[in-house]
Amino acid sequence: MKRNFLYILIIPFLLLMPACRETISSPQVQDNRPEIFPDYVEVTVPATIAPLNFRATGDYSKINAVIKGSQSGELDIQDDESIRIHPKAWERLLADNMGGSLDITVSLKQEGEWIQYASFPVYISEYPIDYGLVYRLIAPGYEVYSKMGIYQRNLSDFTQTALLENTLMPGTCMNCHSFCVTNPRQMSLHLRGEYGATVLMSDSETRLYNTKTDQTISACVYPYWHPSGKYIAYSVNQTQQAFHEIKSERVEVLDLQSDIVVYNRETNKLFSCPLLKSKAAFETYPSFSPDGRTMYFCTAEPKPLPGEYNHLRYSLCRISFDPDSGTFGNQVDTLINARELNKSVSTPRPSYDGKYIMYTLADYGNFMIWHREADLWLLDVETGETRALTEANSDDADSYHSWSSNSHWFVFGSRRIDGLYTRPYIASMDENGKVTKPFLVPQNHPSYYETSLYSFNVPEFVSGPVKMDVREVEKKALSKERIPFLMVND
Amino acid sequence: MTIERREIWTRIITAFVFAVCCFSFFQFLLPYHLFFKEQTQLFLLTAEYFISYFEKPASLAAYIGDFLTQFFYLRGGGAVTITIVLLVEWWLVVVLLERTGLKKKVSLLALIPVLFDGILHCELFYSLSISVAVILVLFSFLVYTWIQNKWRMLVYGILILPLLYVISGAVFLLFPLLVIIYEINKRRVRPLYWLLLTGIAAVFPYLMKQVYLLTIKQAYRYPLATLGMRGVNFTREKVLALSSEAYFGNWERVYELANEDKLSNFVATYYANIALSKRNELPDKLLDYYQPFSQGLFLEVGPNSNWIDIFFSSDVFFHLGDMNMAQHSAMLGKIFSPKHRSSRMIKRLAEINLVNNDSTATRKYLRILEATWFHRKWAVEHERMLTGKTEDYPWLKAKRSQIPTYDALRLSSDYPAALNVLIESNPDNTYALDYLLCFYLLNKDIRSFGEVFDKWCKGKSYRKPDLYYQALLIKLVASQATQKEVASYAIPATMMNDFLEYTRIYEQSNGDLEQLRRRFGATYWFYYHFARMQKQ
Repeated sequence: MKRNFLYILIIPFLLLMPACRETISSPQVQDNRPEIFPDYVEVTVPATIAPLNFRATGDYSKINAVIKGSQSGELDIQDDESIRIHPKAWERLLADNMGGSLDITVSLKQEGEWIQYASFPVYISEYPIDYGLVYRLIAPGYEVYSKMGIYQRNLSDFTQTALLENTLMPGTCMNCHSFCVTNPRQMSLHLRGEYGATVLMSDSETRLYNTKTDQTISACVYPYWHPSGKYIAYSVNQTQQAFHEIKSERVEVLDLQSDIVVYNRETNKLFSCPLLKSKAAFETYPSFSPDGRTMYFCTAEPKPLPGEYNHLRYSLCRISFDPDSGTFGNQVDTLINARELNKSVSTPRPSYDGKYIMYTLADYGNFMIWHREADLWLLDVETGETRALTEANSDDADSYHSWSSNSHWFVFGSRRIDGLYTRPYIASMDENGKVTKPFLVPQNHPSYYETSLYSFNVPEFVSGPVKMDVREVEKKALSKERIPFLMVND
Repeated sequence: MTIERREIWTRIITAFVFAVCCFSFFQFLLPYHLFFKEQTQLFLLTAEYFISYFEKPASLAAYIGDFLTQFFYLRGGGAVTITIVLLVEWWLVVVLLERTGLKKKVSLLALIPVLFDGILHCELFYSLSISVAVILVLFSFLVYTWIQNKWRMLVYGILILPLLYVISGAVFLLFPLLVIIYEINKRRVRPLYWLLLTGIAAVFPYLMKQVYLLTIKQAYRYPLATLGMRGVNFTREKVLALSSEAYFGNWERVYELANEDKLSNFVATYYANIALSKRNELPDKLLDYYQPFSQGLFLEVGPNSNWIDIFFSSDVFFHLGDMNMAQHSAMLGKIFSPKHRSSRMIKRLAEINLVNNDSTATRKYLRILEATWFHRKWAVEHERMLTGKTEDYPWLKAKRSQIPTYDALRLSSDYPAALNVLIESNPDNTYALDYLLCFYLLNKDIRSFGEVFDKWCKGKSYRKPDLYYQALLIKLVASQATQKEVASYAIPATMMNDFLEYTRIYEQSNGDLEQLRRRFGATYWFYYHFARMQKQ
């Protein structure tokens, strides 16, 4: 009898389940496209990207999306809140339509009526993308820091795993994670605070270093790996944080001094050259060309700080580098002249195919994430032509960027959603340098970014999962034993 | 009356007395501790939020604990919630003691662990999640005692232990302990089984620390942040009362509480000063309160700052109109709170962006608050303000008038620079002007005080506070001012006479503090001569 009673309860429930899904017949058709969040209208995605779950903005009681492949396949999804696509079905749809597109028709039930909006395409690129991203999740706040961590995200699903969280080493700041050409087995990472160290992870081992020497102005800061893996260029910076008074600006991070040094991993020695540690200039943000024979960097004429902070402008320069001898040339070429442009350059990142240098351009300074006017720019190495990446830029800060290993994708941080929190966007670039509309890295729940109170800092592509032995890093960090960097005098 | 009946009555009376005492204690002696605990968390009714609890052990206990903690927002809600939770815990202990065969004084004996747990709730870091974790473990153990078959007991014990760690955290260590005590009591000696249970309990957190990214210490403590009891801190309760009433917008109540207690505590002074400023009485009554130099005007935010000070530090910036620093402090307050989420700080961030007329950022925070039970109404009201006319909301109009109109760059601790921008942008911002003048006075920087006074106050017809005249006299004497200069400040004759009298006594008594205190203890001259910063 008891069992029968249970059936009486369950069967009507099961029968009612499909009834929750409504059939849309003769909806009111509108010419305009729906406003959705994240904005995936006309974006180009890799064929292995996780489902582009989204919701519509505004009020509605139901949302329906028909996703039709240009070559084959169709999905019809309905929900009360958002469109959350089944991962397996999505994966198949993308694979079947690679090089083509998906046509998405969204209908919303508003005040009892179904409204069907004009469909929009999502293009599926033929260019493969790397395994995932590594970024730091941190609340926007400086000077003092609380919870933060370095995380990796698999781009083909929604899995985010922590590589390191500072709860393991209380009071520790962790930043500037960097990889040798997206290689997950070669990583550099700084720890700051009581357990300060630079963690260098390689195929064979993980070592913790003290990168501050008597001859350098600080411990090593902004890193960039030489493509050979033999060297890592770092800036050394004496930094100060200051606050704006006006509401449209917020924080300014200033370098009071900065130089560039290079670490030779084989000899455990730091070296530089007078042109990279001039007293008459600030040098920062080093990077190597893909052939390893040129170093790009930013340099500025010092100004009285903080008084003339808005006159501090960085040019993009280059100097030749001989990887065999570990020596620099004796001439610096200016590629982007800050004085002529009346703008400031930061974070030059050469594409790994050697064609371009992407950099951030703002009115002044070099810490661009707090600069609303900051935009991404692209320099054609061969022609010397430079242009703003208007396809990717927004009205808010568009800053830290990183190339995929095939140089057909780039990820960058943007504050375009709310002006406060940095979110990772990915855009593609074809053989001719044509850039597509960027897409926000998808999350399982479309509202994730709206409720998240953490910024995605320094997004970097990795070609495979990073296998960091957290316990080893923790143990070594807590031991406070560090291998000292040795500075070689010029 | 039968023994059983007597025991039932004993239980009812014990439960009733305990409930009344527990409720009264938290409701009348520590209400602001409970308000504060709610302010330092943010409970969202979303699936994502629920899933986030599984990133650490004690998932279910923490979720239920935080769910219940949101009721602390209501007046009386905290005391009622804690009382109910502790009563459930007590009842479970009673039942378990009975299961061990105890018949007499069970209800009283059961009070011992519950009282211990109750006292721990006086600590700010002790959350309801721990009591819920204890309840989950006790209930799991109760189920264990219901099982008759010894092999089933064994299987249940082995299986439930890891699950208990996942849902209750380190409190699961109680389970093997209870099993061993229970079985000894039942004369069921199974040392190998006990060893196995103890082994699982000892090893499981160690194994799971990798999954949960915890240190060894954290793995064996979670969700307990700290161990040990410091007892009831009534001074802290008074400080939290000032802060919470400020959060509720009851500044008159802050003023009353500050007056009643006159605490020698810089956070208490900080709130007293804001309350005075809101009444435009800061310079008039500044020296009626304990003033640890300028530390009572602004709470320092730095690597050595206490997280509670950081949490409170945005209030003064918001009051003065320095929205950028208010935002910076609020963000730090949020991230430094124990769970890195705070309803109070989210509200503050929404307000700041509302004042700045940044609708996108405001909506971000309002949307988060709309996913709560108790802050939804507030969010809806503020959403209305965002779309409405500023004129319809006088507080918003007043706040927007304070916003700086030009930019300057300053260090976070350079308060005078920020105050100067606020005054230059809006000379009617008397809050900022008084804060700047008082900042210099409390730091005994008479020269800077004089410059600001000359620029903004000299020659103005409105009444100047005695404090400023007293400081001006020091400045004029120090600079050996001419009679014409002195006359230009229009200092009242009585004030001049008092100053001469102060100087006479000071010189005659050779700077004797006690002789001057009675008549001049509340003057700036006294502060200037005798105030010394003591290390706390």
